Amino acid sequence: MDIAAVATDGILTEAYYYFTVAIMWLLHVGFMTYEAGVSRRKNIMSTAMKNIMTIAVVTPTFYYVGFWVYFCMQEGLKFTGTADGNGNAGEAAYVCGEGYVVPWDASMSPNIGDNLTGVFWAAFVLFSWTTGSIMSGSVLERIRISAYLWLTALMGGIVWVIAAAWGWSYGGWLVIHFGYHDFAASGVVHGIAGIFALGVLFNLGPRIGRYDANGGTRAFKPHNLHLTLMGLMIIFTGFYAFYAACLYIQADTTGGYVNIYFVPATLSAITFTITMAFAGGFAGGYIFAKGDPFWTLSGGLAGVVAVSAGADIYSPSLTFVLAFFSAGLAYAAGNWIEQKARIDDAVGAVSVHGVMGFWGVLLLGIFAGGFPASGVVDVKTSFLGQLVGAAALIALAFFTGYIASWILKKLNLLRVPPEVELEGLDMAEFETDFFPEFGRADEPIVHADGSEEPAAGVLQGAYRDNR
Amino acid sequence: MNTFPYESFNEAVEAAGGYSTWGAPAGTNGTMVVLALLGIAISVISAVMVTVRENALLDHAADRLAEKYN
Repeated sequence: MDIAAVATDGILTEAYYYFTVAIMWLLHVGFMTYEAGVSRRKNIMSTAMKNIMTIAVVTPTFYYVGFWVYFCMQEGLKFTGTADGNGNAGEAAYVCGEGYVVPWDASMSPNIGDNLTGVFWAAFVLFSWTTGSIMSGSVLERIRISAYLWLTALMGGIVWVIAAAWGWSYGGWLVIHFGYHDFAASGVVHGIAGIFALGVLFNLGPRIGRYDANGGTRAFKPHNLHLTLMGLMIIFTGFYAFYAACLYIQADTTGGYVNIYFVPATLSAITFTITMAFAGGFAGGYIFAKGDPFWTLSGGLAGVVAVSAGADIYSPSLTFVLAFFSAGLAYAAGNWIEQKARIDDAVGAVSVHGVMGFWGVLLLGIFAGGFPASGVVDVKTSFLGQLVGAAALIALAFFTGYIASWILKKLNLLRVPPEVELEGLDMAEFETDFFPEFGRADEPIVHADGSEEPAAGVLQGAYRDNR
Repeated sequence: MNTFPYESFNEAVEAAGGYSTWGAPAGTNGTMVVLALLGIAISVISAVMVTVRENALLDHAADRLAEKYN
């Protein structure tokens, strides 16, 4: 290939990632819409503000720390000056020790000799926001915005990046030694975010009034379920760009599209996968949840999360079947977490992202074992390798989430005061009513037996009982 | 008509090992280090300020609402 062709190739790659980044913004439009819709009227703006400020804190954390972590923690919980992921190939792939992606390096500046670092960085940033937004829904209506921001900076800027360094790079130790395969980040994005959120929920506790004294589970009604469903549909649109950004394309070096492990893949394959997975997930969600609108759409999401690890290699029919049953599993897991484990996950993210993410990691070991896991070293996928990967990533996510939220709890900086929770976070955080033209209707609450009544008395009673 | 001195500019960039803000040789610009440290400091300080401000707001609201809910 001549020099002009190489240059054109780089520019096309640059444009490809630029537009995936632009479309991935829809994920965050969707997350904000979705979570605001789930919230009760009194908590809408504080919920939306979390999503907006996610961008404000995760982006610099990733710029100043996270991107460097990705390149320098490929070999485990240590910073390696020479991490190169060369394995048996003997070629330096990563250049941690040479200053690459350190914030003051030429690679992180407007460098006309480098068309790609900025767009790669931005694609990673959009993934980082996604991990934060996944946690955001779980903790809404009682977490302090500031506490959420510290936690999301940690998770979105560092923790998931460590997971990516280990299992979502061709130099990661999980890939080189165990053949870990996680094409579209079932484990390293969805699983990590969901399990980190679980660790936080243990310290955060349920919303006041969520559980009754007899072990029953009460439900709060979303203020606008249509908004929530629209938010999910917007998220699904952004998912296509998320998947596309999991591919690498530079014809002069790879000969076409490859996955992040440098194994050949195609945009066509992942388009089959994601579309069939949504279809299977919606169908499964509708069937298993008996037509419940929230779980029908969440079933689509669960289905896609479950097949993302193998989205580059699964057949469309396998994808459809796995997504269908995974939606049912997500529904069952969500109910168990909410009703049996009594963990108040406001949007079911622990189930849809955490459980389904690692379920998807294991599914790959079952349905795609023996596939070449790397284009750099000779290693194949296996169930054992996926199991090791899942165990390492679950431990990383849970303990970091639990410890960080425990520290905030001990500092009395994790949860809003109970009086504020009862009144609504918006009036306390912003000292204004964002719907001045509408009076406040009585907030309903749904008891375990399905009966409804105005929430005020129930919440007041729960507050007094727990004091 | 092209008026930009592409040839000499490209030579200068190549000699410097890349282009970075303010035109100093890439990767050796002390000012870039200072700017990065400033950015890190602003990130941390703003997060602390958000925490302190929210804490005050919530304390104020809790005091105001205590009578209503107790």
